[in-house]
Amino acid sequence: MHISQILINGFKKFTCKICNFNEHLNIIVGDNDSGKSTLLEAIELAVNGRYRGRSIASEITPELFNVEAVSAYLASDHTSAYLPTIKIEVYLVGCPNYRGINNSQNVDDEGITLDIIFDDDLQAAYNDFIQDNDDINTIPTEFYKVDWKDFAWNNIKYLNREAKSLLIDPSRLHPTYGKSQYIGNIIDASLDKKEKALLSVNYRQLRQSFNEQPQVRGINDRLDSDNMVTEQELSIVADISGNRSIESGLQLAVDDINFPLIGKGEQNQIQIKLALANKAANIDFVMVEEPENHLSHINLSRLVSKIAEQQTQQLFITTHSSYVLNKLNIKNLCLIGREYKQLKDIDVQVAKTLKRLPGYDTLRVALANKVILVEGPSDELLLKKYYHQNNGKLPEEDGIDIIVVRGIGFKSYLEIAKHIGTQVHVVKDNDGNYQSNIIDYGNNYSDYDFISFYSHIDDTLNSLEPTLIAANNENEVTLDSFAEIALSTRTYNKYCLDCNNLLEKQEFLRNWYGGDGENFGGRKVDTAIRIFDSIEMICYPNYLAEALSFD
Amino acid sequence: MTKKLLIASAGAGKTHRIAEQCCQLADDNNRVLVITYTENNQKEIIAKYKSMGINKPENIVVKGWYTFLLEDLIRPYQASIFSKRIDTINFTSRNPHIRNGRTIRGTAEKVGSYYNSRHFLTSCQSKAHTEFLSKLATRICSVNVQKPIARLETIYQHIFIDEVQDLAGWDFDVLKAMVRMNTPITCVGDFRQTIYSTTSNPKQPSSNQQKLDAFTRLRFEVEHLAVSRRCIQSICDFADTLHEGEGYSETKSLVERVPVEFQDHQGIFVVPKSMHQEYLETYSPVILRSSIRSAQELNSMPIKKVNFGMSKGLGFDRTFVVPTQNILDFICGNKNAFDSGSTDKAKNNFYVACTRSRYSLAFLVENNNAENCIFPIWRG
Repeated sequence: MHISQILINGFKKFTCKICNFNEHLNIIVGDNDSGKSTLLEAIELAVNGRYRGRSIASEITPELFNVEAVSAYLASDHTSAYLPTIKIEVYLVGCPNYRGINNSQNVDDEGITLDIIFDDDLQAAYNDFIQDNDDINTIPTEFYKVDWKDFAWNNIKYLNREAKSLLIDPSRLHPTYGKSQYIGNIIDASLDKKEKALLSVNYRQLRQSFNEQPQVRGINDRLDSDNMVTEQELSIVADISGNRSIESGLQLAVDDINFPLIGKGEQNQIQIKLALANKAANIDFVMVEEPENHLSHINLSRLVSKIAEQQTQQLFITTHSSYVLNKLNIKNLCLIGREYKQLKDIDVQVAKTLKRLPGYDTLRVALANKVILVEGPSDELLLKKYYHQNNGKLPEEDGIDIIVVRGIGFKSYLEIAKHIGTQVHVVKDNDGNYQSNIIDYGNNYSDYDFISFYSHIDDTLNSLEPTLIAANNENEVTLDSFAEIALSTRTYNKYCLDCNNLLEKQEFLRNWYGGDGENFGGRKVDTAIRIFDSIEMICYPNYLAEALSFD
Repeated sequence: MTKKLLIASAGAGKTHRIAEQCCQLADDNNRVLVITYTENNQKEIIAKYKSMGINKPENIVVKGWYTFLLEDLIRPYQASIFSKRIDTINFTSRNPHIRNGRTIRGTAEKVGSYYNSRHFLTSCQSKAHTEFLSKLATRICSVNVQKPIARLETIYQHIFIDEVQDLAGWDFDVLKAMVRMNTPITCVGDFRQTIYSTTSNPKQPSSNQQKLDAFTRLRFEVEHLAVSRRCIQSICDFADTLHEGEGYSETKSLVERVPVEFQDHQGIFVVPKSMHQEYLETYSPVILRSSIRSAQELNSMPIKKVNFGMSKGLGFDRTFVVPTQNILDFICGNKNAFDSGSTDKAKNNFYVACTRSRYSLAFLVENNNAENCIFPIWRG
């Protein structure tokens, strides 16, 4: 069974949000406060009828409602029609019992609807309430009810619901999520019925035998031996009533260390793996919050491999890690932002490359509004310097993210950007052929007007450094001041000694940067760092300035 | 797909047979739906398959006919006709649109081209009249071009309908829609035991013969389960005479040995009124009567009494029947004694009454009438 779509209306920050999901794996990314956790909470609500581990019926609080809807209500005359409502609809595949047309789109489909709405039975009481209260400053949640139905319009009961989800969120282990509830969920997913019963029986017997220990009996015999407290027999016993206490009395242990005392990273891993193993085979959807938390790179890599292997349940993972995203295949990305976007149609080859080379910062292209892609660190440093020089702050402070593409090249990043719609400015060397490397290359992306290319039009200025030299060689004075900033003292002295005129000086500088290889690469970066660190100003080629201007 | 109609005789062990098949199907990971008419029967079936050591009881869903109509056919698609959720049913034993012999105005099925909620629902629109529940289901199926049936097909791998003899009229239209699906349907029933009817509607089929014909038209394969695990052969033989010539197979008793304590008095007898006290004291039979008003002089006797209608599904060692006039005529040899009635009800009631007893069946008769009966007279 899997969730094909969710519709959320009025729940926290979501107003009329529709998200489609992949059958197996969904990697949910988004900026901070974009609603990643809220999305998982919404699934948990609709599927399990639970909010933070407790039945929603007893957990209706004002914080669940959309802030704007709440303000609209508070500004209104408070009649019940203005009370904000929450609706979550989950569309399923593989759950025929939940089929019908009772959903907001009136389509014949399988699914679940959860509504948190005004309880009509309380209309009279509510009328009295608004009569008596002049300054209502919060939502009177006491007048709400939860309506939990499938698309066949039959009520869903927690114990015989057809679909089940498990939300793993280590950060919530305490205190909002009751420990016993949480362990209970884990036990539930890990043991089959028989094993659970055996565990329970043995636990009860153990407590029973505690009561019969000779020393415990001795203590009890002395407790009220002269019957001062009561005429009856008073004793201290282990509580053997009920079934619930099994969870509160049990604890997971790793190498004999209690679960809450082992490392956070290990806790995290174990919970995720237990849930994925799901020996009880009773979980349809597993939701994991930020698996990268508290894990070293090596352990994360192992865990991610484990996650990638699993096939039986539908998985929802939130993450801030490009590594997790690339390794689990970037085509599974679900971006939450102003719009909801997926990368289903991304080029298969690009996805494959990223799976093999997961270390690249692909998430930044997905999350940033404005991106500048550059070839090397020198370009990045000079762009930042130039921006700082003109605006008094670094470009990232204005939401412009400069990414060095390195090994995987522009194509992979642009492939992501073109599906997401990120504004991208590509700063690229013309490599001696502006027509072929810039114009023709750019034409591949002519359908995406949010992607544009920047380079020097002069074919002789084939990379960054020649363009810098050209920008600063108006006369000997300007070129000298540039050389003084860009070169080390030793090299600058050599430059002054060796060269007698503007042409020679230009030639010197060209040759200084003029080749490939380790040595030259180092010289270029050193120069960029010197320019970046210097308080003196140099002249910049125009295309850099253009690349930095977004509208 | 297979469509099977299993016609069982009284005491044939149909519950046992349904439960057995359910267990097998469920353990092979099939989802099975069992629809029955009475709540007692639902409990009986659940108890039965649980006692058989089923491994996957979660695969069996047992529902009443009305619940089935509401949950599986009506609610999922009702929005195409009525927008307010139908929360429950309104039990009606008569046509709710007729008051004092007159049809209430505005209760026609359609108003213009729209279905009229006042025809199908109570005035609050959240309850559906049981009288028209099947009709509503049928309408919803056709408005939604069989979607409800397709839905059913994907949920269940086998559907049993027990007590089909109690279905009538529109119920058969629902059945007609259901037989189009690929899921096999097994209907089980005994038309000789029709006592309840899900509707009072005179819509056909209403008589047993009409219902059997309807099943044949729907291409159900008919199988007779003509055995009795309860009654001895002589009682089976007599019960069979009630429906002679109506196409039922002869019932074979599966009772092999009569326990010693019952051996001295087996078979069918008539008891003259003057002897009844003595008879009751000697054999302590269970008294079966048409209603609480029949033979009121027996009410003071400390003996278990059951009305015909309530005795369905029950079994006793010995019974003592207080006959109605029809029954009296019949046991005096008039084979057409029940033909005058407009329905089969009286005859079916008598069939049920006859087939309750394992070893002896006695009829109370007036002293002067005893000689006219076809059975031996008990004289102590």
